[in-house]
Amino acid sequence: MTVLGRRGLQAEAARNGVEALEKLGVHHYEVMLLDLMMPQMNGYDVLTHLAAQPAAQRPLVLVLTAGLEPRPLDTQIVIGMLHKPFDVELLVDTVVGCMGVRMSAAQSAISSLLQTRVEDAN
Amino acid sequence: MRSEPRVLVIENNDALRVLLFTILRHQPLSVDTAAHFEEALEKVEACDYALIIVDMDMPEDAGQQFVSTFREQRAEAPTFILAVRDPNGNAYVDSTLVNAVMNKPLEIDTLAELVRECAMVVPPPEDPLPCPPSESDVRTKLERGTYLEN
Repeated sequence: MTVLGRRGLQAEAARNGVEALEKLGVHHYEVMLLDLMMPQMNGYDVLTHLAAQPAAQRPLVLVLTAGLEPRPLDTQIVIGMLHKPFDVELLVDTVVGCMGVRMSAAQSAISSLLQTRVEDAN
Repeated sequence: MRSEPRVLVIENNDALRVLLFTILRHQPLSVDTAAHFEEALEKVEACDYALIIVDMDMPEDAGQQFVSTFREQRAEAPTFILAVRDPNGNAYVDSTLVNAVMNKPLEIDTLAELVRECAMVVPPPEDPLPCPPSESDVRTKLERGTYLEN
């Protein structure tokens, strides 16, 4: 959180899957760093909940992993994985890259909207 | 002095393409991207790449088509080809044409290390093509405000 904050990113933490889903119900997040092995509700269950949401409304998910995962991950939801212990610079670059993905998508949407408005005006 | 190894990312998924570009441009590499087969062919006709990352899950088997075409047209090129694919999908990967395969979701740290090391060991071409500036170089200059000065 400190490292991400230094790069100008607003980060929030959840201690388990239950807390994560509570936060997801209140706020929209661009990126989620997800540990699979958590108490109460693990990361796999969080991914199952995310799968039920429309793609545009769910965050890009980066899974934090300690090794080989016992279950396959949905590549439509999980964009990448990072091994523990992290290379901090790479972690930050990856999160910033994910933010760039969402900014590109937003810019495309705004461009399309402006184009439509211009065409309507003409 | 040898310039930074050049890497091409061929990926039709916008999110993954932007993500890979952002990660790799912070490595000691020059990075270009292509969103589809035709754009990828244009890029390799204009430039020599040390390494190409190609998505094998693109529609109409475009990844495999690209690899076949590239290896046929540039049989002498020492380019390292890293294929990425969804292990749950049914994309065909011809192991005689690619040097390595990585499954999705991509292990970002492993990928960055592999790309960096592979790109470094591929020898530079003896008679290199006059490449245009890479996307990563252009982006860096734009960020520094030095693009128009050069």
